[in-house]
Amino acid sequence: MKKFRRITLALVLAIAFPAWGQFSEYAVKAAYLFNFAKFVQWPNGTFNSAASPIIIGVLGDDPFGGDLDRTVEGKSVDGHPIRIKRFGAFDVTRVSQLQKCQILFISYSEKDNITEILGAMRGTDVLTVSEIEKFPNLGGMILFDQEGQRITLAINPQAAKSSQLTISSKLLQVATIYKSE
Amino acid sequence: MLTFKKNKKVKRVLKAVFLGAILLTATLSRAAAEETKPSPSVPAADSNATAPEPDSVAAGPSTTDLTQLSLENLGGLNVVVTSSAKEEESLRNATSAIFVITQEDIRNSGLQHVADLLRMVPGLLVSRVNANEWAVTARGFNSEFNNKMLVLVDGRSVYQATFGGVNWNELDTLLEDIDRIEVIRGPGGTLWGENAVNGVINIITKDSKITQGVYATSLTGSNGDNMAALRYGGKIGDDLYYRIYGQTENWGSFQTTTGQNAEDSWMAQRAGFRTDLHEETDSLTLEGEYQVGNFDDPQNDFNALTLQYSGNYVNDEVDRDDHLLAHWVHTFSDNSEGSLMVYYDQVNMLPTNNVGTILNTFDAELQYRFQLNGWNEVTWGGEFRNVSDDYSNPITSFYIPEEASLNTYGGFLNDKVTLVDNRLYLTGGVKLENTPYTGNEWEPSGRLLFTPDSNNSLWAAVSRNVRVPSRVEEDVNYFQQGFAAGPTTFYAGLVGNTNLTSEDIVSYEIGYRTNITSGLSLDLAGFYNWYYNVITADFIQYAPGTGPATPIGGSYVSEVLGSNAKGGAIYGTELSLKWDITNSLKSAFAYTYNGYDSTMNSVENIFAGNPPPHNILDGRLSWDAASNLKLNTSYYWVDATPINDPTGVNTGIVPSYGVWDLGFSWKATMNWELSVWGQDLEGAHAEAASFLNSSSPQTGVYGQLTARY
Repeated sequence: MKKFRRITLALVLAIAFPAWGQFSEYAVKAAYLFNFAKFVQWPNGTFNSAASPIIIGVLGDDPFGGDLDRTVEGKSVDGHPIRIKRFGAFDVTRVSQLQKCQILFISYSEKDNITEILGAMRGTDVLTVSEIEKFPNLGGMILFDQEGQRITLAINPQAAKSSQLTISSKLLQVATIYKSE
Repeated sequence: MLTFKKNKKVKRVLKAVFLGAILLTATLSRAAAEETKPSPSVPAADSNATAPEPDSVAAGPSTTDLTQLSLENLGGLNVVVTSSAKEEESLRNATSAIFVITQEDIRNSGLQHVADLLRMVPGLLVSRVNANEWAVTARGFNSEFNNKMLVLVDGRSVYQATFGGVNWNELDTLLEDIDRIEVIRGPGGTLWGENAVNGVINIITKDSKITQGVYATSLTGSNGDNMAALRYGGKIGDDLYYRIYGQTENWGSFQTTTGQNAEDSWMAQRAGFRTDLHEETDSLTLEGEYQVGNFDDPQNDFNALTLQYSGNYVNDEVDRDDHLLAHWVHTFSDNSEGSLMVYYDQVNMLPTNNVGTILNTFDAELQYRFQLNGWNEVTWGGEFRNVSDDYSNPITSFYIPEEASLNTYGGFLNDKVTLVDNRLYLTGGVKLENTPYTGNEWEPSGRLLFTPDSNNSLWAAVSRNVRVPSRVEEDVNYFQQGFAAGPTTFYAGLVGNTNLTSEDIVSYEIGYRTNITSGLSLDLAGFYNWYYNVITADFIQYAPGTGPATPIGGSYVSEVLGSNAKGGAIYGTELSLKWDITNSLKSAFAYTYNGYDSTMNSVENIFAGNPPPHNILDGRLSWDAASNLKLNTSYYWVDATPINDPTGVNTGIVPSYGVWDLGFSWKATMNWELSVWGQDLEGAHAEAASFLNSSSPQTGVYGQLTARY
């Protein structure tokens, strides 16, 4: 009887809170991007002031719909408000604007330009994030991967380190670590 | 894979041929054409009946603030993966008329068979011939042989070179584990080789990395349909993923034009696996399946004297199909990648009398892709295929020779040249092949892509492709007793023609894709195809006693022989529109127009097929009524299609018909989902009345319960 009641309760909860069930892929990825702002430390001098925004750039087609804006709306990390900036397809003449981001999400639509983009970001203090296959192997920092119905992370700490970014061990613990030979 | 159905098809051809021959020789009147009486069509129901008020749309999905979750919890969430961004990307830069059916499209359709899914693709004509057979074509030549479309499953060709066509009833699998179906209309021969004349359909299953855990589903329907499937996905060590699955399905009969049970139910069982190993620079996929299918074929009892099918004899045809495939991809550097694929496939047909026939296919393909000078992307590859068959054991001998081992080999070279960075690309390529019956074939193409900005692309292509004659067309040798005049018996025969050449197509295509707004996109394609040397059946009559002798004495009074007799043009346009009306209400629309010149109107339907219907429409609507409730509906409409009798004489039309489906899916909990669907709500209708053994799908309802853990 106890068991039955527990099942009933679980069912009621599940129906009452369907959102507990499944989330859209990009709502989860948006939440991760927010967490990156929390668990990555940028070098001194990145921010002009304590209230300067953390800029998340989206390069290429925006797959988030409104999810990213909703996720970060009204939120700040250590006093830095979060701003979203959208760039179209990669354009060499706008590299300096990309370099002003703290986090750059490189959309799948930029697959063919990825080597060029990572070349342009090398040595800057921008955290590069993408869902393009083998992103860490190519010198990118964080890859959104998928296992079963879950979004997983693959991180290349070496690439982050050479850009003077410090990734918290909490974030590293939940990720697969890429080690270059 | 599954060849043997072909034997059934061979029989059917024979019947068709024989029917035609008798018609001629016995100078019977064409009254027989009356036998296909159109079923009364039910007036179209209003498919908009389910369209919701846009205002009543529930506030999209989760309102939960995911940023409050810990990283561990975030990583543990189940997500609905759409991967549409990836699909769109691959579409935008394609220089051919391509359409991708995603996993989401599959779920929203409520359909259970791969062939039925293809209705949503612009340009495709999907006709259910009977409960266990489909005819699928693009751009004309609709016949149960479908000999001008190439179909691949994870790279493995399921086009049966023996009869020239595809057995769609053997392609069911766990639809949940299909990643996507890429459909390319128009010639694909430069990459895929012969027989990709009117298109290529690539069924791509998911990497086992993303099919982890348990999936179980069970379906019960009002027409005697039952289906159950179980899959388990796991992981060994850090890099090796696998899944194993089993499925059993049982599909009820359609009905005859007079509303009787058509006795064409079927069932199949399959078990299979897929493993994927991902290493730094290598990935290795291994997959295999074992399947047994049992197809009822009721009208097999053809009476040569009355020219009627008695229809009361049900032949159980049992096919067994096994295959094993290995695919290895190695990345040499950022700019170069090579792959090797090898597969083996065996099909056995086990007819009721246990006389079996066997078909084996062995195939190996090598491919290498690299960047050259920054502005060339070069792909080259080679292929070897051996198809061996053994027909020495059937009831009646069909082929001379009864056993054959046929090799096809060749290579291709393709270069995508960037003319203007991010704007203009030119792709040129050619495939050279040596085929068993026609020797060397070459299939070149040139394609131009212009992308003025990230929202618009324009492409144009010219290509040549071939369809090589099938073993039936070359080697068949079948005759049947016709009538006796005094002491002499006369025969009608179907005789192969070893002098056939390939059918050729030269195709001119243009296309335009645009994103009008972020939620509205349009894809338009136009084509003009010239066909040469199309193989059709010739009926030759002899005065009694003057025809060639048959192998058992007596002589032919009629003989049917294939020849490269026809040619002509088919042209058309295909439009696809996708519109996200709101965040939760999405629609898709496809329209096809086909035209053809008069010589294509009289193509015999035995080998070549019917001319295409002038108009085809498809519309789909998907509404997320609540975050756990989804409503879907679709409507597919096909214009009237001319019917030719086996001698190529136009005898009427298949009336236009519509297929209306409507259903909902309710996600009761995180793991459990219930779907209820009404299918063919317009009622019973014939889709392929020109084909033998055709029957009509009827309205049905099914419920499906699915668990994912």
